[in-house]
Amino acid sequence: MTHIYSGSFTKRAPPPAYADGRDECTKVLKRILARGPRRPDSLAKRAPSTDLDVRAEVAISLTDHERALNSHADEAFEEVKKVHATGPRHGLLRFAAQGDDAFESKSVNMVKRAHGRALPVSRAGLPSIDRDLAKRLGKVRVNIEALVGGANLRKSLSGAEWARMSPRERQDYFGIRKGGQPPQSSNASWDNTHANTGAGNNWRDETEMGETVTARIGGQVIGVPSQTNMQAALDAIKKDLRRPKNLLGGPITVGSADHDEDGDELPRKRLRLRGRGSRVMGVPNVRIYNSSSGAVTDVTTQGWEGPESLAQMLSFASFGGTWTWQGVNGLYVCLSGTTANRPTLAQLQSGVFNKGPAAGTKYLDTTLSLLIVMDGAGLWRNPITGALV
Amino acid sequence: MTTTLFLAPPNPVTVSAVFSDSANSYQASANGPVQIADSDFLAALDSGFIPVGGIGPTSGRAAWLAGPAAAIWSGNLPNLPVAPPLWFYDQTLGGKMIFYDVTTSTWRDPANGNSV
Repeated sequence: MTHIYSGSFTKRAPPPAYADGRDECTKVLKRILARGPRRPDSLAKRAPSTDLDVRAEVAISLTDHERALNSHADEAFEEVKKVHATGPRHGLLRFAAQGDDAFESKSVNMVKRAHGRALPVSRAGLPSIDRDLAKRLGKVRVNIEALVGGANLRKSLSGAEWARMSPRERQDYFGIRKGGQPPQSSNASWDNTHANTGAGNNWRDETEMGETVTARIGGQVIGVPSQTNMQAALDAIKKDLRRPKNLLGGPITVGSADHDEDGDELPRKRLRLRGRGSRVMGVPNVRIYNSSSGAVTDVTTQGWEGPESLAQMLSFASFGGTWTWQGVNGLYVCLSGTTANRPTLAQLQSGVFNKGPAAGTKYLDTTLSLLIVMDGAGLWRNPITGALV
Repeated sequence: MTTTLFLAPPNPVTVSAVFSDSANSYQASANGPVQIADSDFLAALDSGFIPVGGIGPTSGRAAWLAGPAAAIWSGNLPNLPVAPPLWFYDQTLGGKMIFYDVTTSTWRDPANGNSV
């Protein structure tokens, strides 16, 4: 606030107006608010225009009797009763099921049994103190001593008063009668709803060591490993190991089942191992025209251990040189074999072939009965159409 | 005219005028075959094309052997990207790839070795 001098007096000068227009905004808001709350558009009266509007008007105009006649509340109530009568739904966790059986707790049952067992009572009607038992059961000893000694009794009693009292008076004072227990105080009596402290006791919310309850969270079963399921796993492993594994002579599927216990499809991996009497996949034959017999013969390239690369030998033979391998003398024609045995680009550029550029290599696919050619990208193509094969 | 059947080179083919030293131009689809004149054979090799073999009627076999095949036969193409034998796509036989047996100077069927 600014004060300006006017003669011998000062007077307050209004603060300068803000240049950002906030004052104008405030004035506008004040005018709007001064009009009071606006009526929501949803409450604005309008003529019914849709079926929903008509139905709403009809519903409003119904009497209670008519409304009751149109109601399915009774049928719904009967259905709900049927559902409740069937008990909890299967698959729900016990603590999540409605209308479940009574809660069974080992610790609760143990306490119940302890309360139901009467303490030995002396001739005087007071609980006798079994020192050995009290020592073995700590809480019992404390409680009994408290009861007899009076130090922690809810009814405080001095030693002099205790001494003056007759046994019967002591029985009456503590409410003890021969052959029975002293009555519990109201907040110590067991009723499943209150603890001996008087506090509400909902045993269901307590953590206790009971039977293992497994729960399914997401796709995983959460549970406590037990000796039982560990043994089951060991048995399964042993059983699987006892199954013969064919490591030679063909493809081997890793994984003994197509699906796991959840029904999910297992990934299948195939190992192709080289074994006796089998051919390694991807190793083709060499087709040779035997000049002597006038026929073509396929010889496998597997096991080639010559001093020169197969490509050199093949080139030599193709130019009319004498070439003998595996008892066959003749002219190299092409590689041959099934579709599965087609060599890859890497194979043609290494190993026994070692012929450098593999582009242009011809392969007689006996599966397709078609001569195909490898292009510069290592793909097999129909040389006539150029299509991938 | 005896022609030569090719496969495309490794790189994508965008060939509008593949052979600069030829009056002919060839358009090949990606990795597709293209036929060229015998006279363009060496230029095609220089351009990276992969020779597959000759193509034509049965009567064109001899011309193919005397033309491009002779270049392969002579062994003067050290960087020839394909090894012999020579192959010919005989259109008269219904489109059969046959190979040339240099030991008997005979064209043969690779499926059975029969003379064709």
